[in-house]
Amino acid sequence: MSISEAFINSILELDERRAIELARVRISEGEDPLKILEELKTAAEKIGEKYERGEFFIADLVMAGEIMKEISELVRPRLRELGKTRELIGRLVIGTVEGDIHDIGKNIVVTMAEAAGFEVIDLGVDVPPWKFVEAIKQYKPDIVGMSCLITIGIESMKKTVDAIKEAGLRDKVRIIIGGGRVDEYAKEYSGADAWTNDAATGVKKMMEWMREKR
Amino acid sequence: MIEKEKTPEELLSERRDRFEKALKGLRPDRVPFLPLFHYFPAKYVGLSYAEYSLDYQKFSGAVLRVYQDFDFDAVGLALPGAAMTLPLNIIFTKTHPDLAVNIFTIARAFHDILMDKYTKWPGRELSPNAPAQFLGGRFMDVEEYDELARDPISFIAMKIIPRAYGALKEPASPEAYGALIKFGSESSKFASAFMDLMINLRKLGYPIYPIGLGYAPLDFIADYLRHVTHTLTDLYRYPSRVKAALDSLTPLISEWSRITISLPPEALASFDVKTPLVFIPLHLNEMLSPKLFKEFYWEPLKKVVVDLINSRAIPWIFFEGDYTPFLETLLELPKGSVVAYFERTDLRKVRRVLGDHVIVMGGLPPSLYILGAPEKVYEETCRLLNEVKEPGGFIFSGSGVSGVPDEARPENLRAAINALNKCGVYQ
Amino acid sequence: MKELVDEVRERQLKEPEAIASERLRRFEEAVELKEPDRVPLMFFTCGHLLGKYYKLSEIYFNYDVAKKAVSRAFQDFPSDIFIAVPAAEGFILSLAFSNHPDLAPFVRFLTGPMHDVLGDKYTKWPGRELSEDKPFQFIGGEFMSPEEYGKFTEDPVGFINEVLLPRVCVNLSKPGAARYATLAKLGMAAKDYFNALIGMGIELAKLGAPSLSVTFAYTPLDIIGDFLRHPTHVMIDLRRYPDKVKQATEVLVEPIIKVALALKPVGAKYAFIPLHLNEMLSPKLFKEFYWPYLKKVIVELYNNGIKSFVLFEGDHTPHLETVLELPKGWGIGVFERADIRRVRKVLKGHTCIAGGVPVSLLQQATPEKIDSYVRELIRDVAPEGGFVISPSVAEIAAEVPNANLRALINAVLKYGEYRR
Repeated sequence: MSISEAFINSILELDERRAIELARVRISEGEDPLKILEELKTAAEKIGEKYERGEFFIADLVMAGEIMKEISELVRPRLRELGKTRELIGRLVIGTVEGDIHDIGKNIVVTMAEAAGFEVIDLGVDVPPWKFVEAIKQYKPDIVGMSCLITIGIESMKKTVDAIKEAGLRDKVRIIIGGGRVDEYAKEYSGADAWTNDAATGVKKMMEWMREKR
Repeated sequence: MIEKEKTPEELLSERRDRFEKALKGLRPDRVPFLPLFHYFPAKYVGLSYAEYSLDYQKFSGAVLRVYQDFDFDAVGLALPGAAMTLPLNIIFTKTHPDLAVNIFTIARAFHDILMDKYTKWPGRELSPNAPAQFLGGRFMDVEEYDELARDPISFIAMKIIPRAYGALKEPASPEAYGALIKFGSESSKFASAFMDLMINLRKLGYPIYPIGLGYAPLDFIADYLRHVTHTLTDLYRYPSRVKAALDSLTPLISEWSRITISLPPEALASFDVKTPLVFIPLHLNEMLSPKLFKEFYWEPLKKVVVDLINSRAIPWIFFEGDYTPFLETLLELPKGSVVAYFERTDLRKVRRVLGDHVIVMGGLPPSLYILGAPEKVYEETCRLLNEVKEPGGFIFSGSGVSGVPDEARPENLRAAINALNKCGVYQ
Repeated sequence: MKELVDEVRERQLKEPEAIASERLRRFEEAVELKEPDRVPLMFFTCGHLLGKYYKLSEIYFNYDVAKKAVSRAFQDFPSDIFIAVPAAEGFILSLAFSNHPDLAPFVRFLTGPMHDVLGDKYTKWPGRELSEDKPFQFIGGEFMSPEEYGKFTEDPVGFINEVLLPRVCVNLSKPGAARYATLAKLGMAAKDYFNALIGMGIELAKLGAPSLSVTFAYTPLDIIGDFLRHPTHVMIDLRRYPDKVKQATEVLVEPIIKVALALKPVGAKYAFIPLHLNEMLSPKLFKEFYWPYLKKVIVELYNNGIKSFVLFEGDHTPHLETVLELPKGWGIGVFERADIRRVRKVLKGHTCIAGGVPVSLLQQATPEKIDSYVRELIRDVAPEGGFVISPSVAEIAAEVPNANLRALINAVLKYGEYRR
């Protein structure tokens, strides 16, 4: 097994100590940090698949996200030293919608999406529709992610999508909604493009969108 | 007997006029009877003291029965036990005035919850038919006077409360948290039972008025911090320490006492008599020499009393024991500004010294109600009234100590009321 | 045209007592895995639904308003069992006072006024941290470091009182008068809430709503997730410090049972247990850290004559089989996102199940769609009893159209009768 395979496997096995140790060794041995980050993307994708197959649960996503975050932080200084930047696969604007201040799910998405190579602009919680619109104008993201936990959020998602439409930006972005209470009905009602109950499937979907775009 | 035919509304307005006139130092149609009760209602309806001090419904029922069966003129105090929460009330003066006023938490449940070392209760430490008793205790060392003087609220909160209340000895423990929460919820329960009782008494035609509580600063030290005996010796050994502590306690007690009667206008409007009465029971007074009395007891007390008068309340001071040696001090207060309620001081002497400078309140020795014959009670009541009711501003209390004695024979109470109806009338 | 729901609305005003006993019997027969006369319908609300009638800030902070709202909601949307708790999760307080059985049950929920008194960081409320028309939200937080697991395990109840609550509640953070006052006021607020619940019960009884005698329990690991470490950190802790987490979980079983049994002497029959971390755990973690302790709680309560009323939040499908380890007729399981037909298949004859109607369906579908959905649901799930139909999440938003809620009730009345 190559060191890359061992590295990815250690993340998939949620073996935090081994994953970090391998990352350290690779950095100290002068390996290209971009390669390590590239492998995080692979790991993120595999995690999504594992989740879809029912092998992974949210607790696993959280742990995997935590490991990947630690590794990104290890790699980043090295990247700066070399004057390199990571090639981003896309840009995501994300927030918990107006009226809802829960952020567990959204934060998992942020961690996993970053690991997968997205540039993530996190608008925080209780984000009103106009703020999403402003952020779309300012950052020109590929994807807008909206999160909510409580059912009141579904109404806010609809309002946000409406505001995006009104601003004439609907065809500029893909919209994904996520959270414990969203489903197909919520997607249709709000006018989003996709829905997810979990971060892994959500990130996987976003990665697919980016591939289609290319 | 004729009274019974009047409607409660008529009775209420008649009694209110009578009581209000007496409070103003005037001569109403007759002397009003403002009774205070400890356990008389329990005895009267056949409840054990333990039940009476534990069960608010039974307590209220007993008090109502007494007010139904006898004719009085206003709702006096009826409390099923002894006070024990004053230190807790006082520490809330600055930050939580709504808790500072929660003063009538005088029932056994509070003792059971807080496990205070100040009081003992029927059915708990005492037999089921013994009255609750205030013993106090020594919860502070002499060396701590300075700390008390520096910041009385913090000192009481951090040092005294854990020592005086068994349930709060570890202030951050589950026991203490639980006890305080229960204390709060029990206070609400008690307050609503108390309010219901007031409403029901009012329905019977008894006027109600706002009531507050005050305390003599030296009594606070003696009752709640140092114990009476030690306080007395402290006055000789460490006068300046005591003085410094009194200097910082006095404004606090004054402020707290004024909070107990600060009512929003809409609440005030619901009372029949709008002037608040502030009950101030004195304890140490008769134990002190005139010199000590003046310096350590009267001056701080006077400050509290004057502040209350300036807040348009009527201090209602209970002079425990014999106050004869100090009667003149009351002349220092504005005329007609306080109700002076005497226990053993001879009321005739009171009238001779004070005339109509204060509203005088009092009655007969308790033994007469307990042991005397109704004829004797009638006779003595008439004699007393004839001698002290003039020139007006007199309120009859039944007896001196805690109003109607616990063991008073009902027929004697009736005899006193009959005498009041005859000899209490102003011509 | 008068609809079926309107007939019930009229009847519950006319003969509330008769209808209340019918409703209770219907529910209890379902819990006993029997076929009642009709599938019982159950509604829950933590207050969101009541936003139809009054501003949420008023509902949560003024119990008179809450009482009126509850009564109006039940008159507009009659059901067999209506559980209205206008308050947030606060089991940690019960646990803090688990040695005071006379107190523990009354601080089970964190109400708006209690939030004002405590200044807790767990919850945010309309008219306070949130705008006036938003429902309260439970946020939780990280209030214990992983290094403190040991200290917690040594004396969980002491730790909650001495370390946790002062960190969580601004108004308990300083010793002395402020803390004393906060606690005394909490007691007053708890008393007010208790009285308000009694008042609501009386109002609902006038409309023929039966009241269930309930008590409360919790899953040990959820205590750690919801109140101590935050769910995200617990999930990481399970990997990094599995032994510490397990020990902390073990010591919580006893105080939780103690809290739940506090209401046994007054006849509690059902213990509410909301689950939070369940769906987030893999079967391996679930079976090791979550389920054994939850099972202990449920079985102990069952042995004490108390049935558990478990809210299986999220998608409980991967762990469904574990439910079969419980004694038959152990209680009721309300399922949120698990496929109710699948749940039924696995648990039939063993567990009374509730749920089946997604809240999103109620929010977005037409009355006609709801009618056909309910018809199919009852056809597939109801036969042989042991089924209670209900919206599958606790909160029905105020925005759910009235016509849709009426359509649900009509459909249950129309299709729910068991033929004998």
